[in-house]
Formats: sequence, structure tokens, C-alpha cells
Amino acid sequence: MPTIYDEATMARLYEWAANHRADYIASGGVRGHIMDQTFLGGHRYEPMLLLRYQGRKSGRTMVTALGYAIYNGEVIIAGSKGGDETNPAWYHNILAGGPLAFQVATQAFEAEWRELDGEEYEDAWRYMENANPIFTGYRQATTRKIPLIALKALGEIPVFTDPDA
Amino acid sequence: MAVIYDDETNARRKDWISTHLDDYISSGGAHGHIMDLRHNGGPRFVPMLLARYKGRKSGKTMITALGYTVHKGELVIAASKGGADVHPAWYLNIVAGGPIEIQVATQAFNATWRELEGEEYEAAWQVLEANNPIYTRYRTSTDRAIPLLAFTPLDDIPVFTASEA
Repeated sequence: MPTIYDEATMARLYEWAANHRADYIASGGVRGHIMDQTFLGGHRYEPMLLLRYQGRKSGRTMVTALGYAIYNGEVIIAGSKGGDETNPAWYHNILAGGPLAFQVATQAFEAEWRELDGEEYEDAWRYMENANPIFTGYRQATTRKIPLIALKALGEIPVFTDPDA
Repeated sequence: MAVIYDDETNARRKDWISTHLDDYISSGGAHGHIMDLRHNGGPRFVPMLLARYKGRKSGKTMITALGYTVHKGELVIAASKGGADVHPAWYLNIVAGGPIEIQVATQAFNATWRELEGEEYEAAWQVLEANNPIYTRYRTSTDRAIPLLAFTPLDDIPVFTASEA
């Protein structure tokens, strides 16, 4: 698992992440949109979304909380997994197809996605690093190319509920 | 007012702005954050915040809904006023001093602000134009430099209510 933080920071991040996802879903998006990343060396204000997709083996509905940026009018998420050497499970799952949706605060949308490539990737990655210093650390921590996915909002849908409830 | 819209579009736009503001405030931020502006020739996915400030002459508390772009942990707002040749009232009120608060969807914060200048202005302006081509039209429709304000959220505060507007 991720390596760029010390143990105390990692423990804090895990604890934060577990509470954050549950609270984002349970509150219907009233809480959880804005993350204070100063304890990770990041900004006071970074926005987070919920991504809903299907497990490629289990077929189960899953929800993951992820940071996002808006660049060229698209919602961009990064498969950084804290700088880990492997791609996150959500990335494999959305590549496998299946219905995709995302929620920003109290608004949820069906979504299309595409993976950024070539010059578009380079340009967007430069933007992501420039916009949020934690991405520089993630890039330096791994030899893999961290995937960038652009989400396109389609119709608005009801907010997510806990898929495991 | 040399806005880029014809009279009819401008009337519809004012109507939309007023309805949107009422709905954003009265829903506690559950509605109004992400707007589909394709009906006005805009993008599908436009994030909007509420800014609360004091009138520089009246001392009255005022709330305005504005499009924003998250850039380097700050929320950047353009004082575009539809490409008009004069600054919007909210900009004049904010730069006159007094407390500033912002609300993004269902989360509100007191905030500090600064005006972007020089290279920082150019970099942020490019991001705004890339996210929403309407800013290119605003820029080319007026001789004034459209000011960019950057807000940094501080502490969480209760969401805004209509009685304060």
C-alpha cells in the first residue's frame, strides 16, 4: 500500500477515509464534499466526489470517494491510490464496463467516462500537479503511469445509498 | 451595459439568476450547486457557489450566486458581469472590505479573499477559459480587465438562510 506518508499520517488517512465515505453517503452528500488536506501537505480546500460502479467479478455495486478536479470543463479523477505501484480496484472495475455514476455533494449523475491519453493526458496531469501538490508526491512514489479518467455527467439521478446496507 | 447577450436572452438570464439564487438558498444548498447551462449556450456542468458580503454603502448583508473554479486550493471567481464594461456590485462591495463568507453546495465557510494579479492572474484566467468558453466571450466584449478574486475557506459555519439575504 501507499508509501509516501509516515505511519502516523497513514493511520490518520485510513481513519479519515473510512469515516468520510460513510458520512458522505449517509448524509446524502450534505457532508463530505470538501476535504481539508493540510495533514497530507495539501490544501485546506479540495473537493471530493463519490464514484459508483460495478465490481467486475462480483457484479456488486460499489461506491468509492475520490478527489476530483474540473479541467477543460470535464470532471477528472486520478487512479493515484496514494502513490501505490498498482492501479486502484475502481479503475479496473470501470474499465470492465458496467453502469457508472458519480455524486458531487447532494447531486448525482449517470456518467460516461474516457481515459485521457497522449498529449491530453500530459496536459491534464501537468494541471493536476500544478493545482494540487499531493499529486507530485504520488507521481514520484510509483513507476506506473497514474491513469486519469474524465467523467461526463448525463442525466441527474437520486443521491447514492449505502450499497452494503 | 455592453453585455454579450441580446435583450431577450438577458431577460431570461436575469430570471434564471433570481430563481436559481432562491432555490440554492431555500434548499440549504441541496439544489443549485451544479448547473446545466446548455439552455444558455453554456457547458453541461457548471459549479456555482454563494458569496455573502456586506453592501459598502447600505451595510446590508447580501448573497450572490457565482460560478467558481477551484485552482490551487482556492475558489476563483471572475467579476465578469456578462461582459459588461463596469464591475459588478458584488465585486465593489467585497473589495471595500468587510467579512466574506461562501457556501459551496451544503457547506459554508468564512473566508479570506485576495485579488489575483500578474502571472497568477494569467494562469488562473486560462483555466477559467478552458473550463467555460463563455469567459472568452466576456473577455473580448469589454475593454476592462475582468478582475479575478481568489477565496480561501477558513472555518465551517451554518449554511445561509433567506432572512439574511
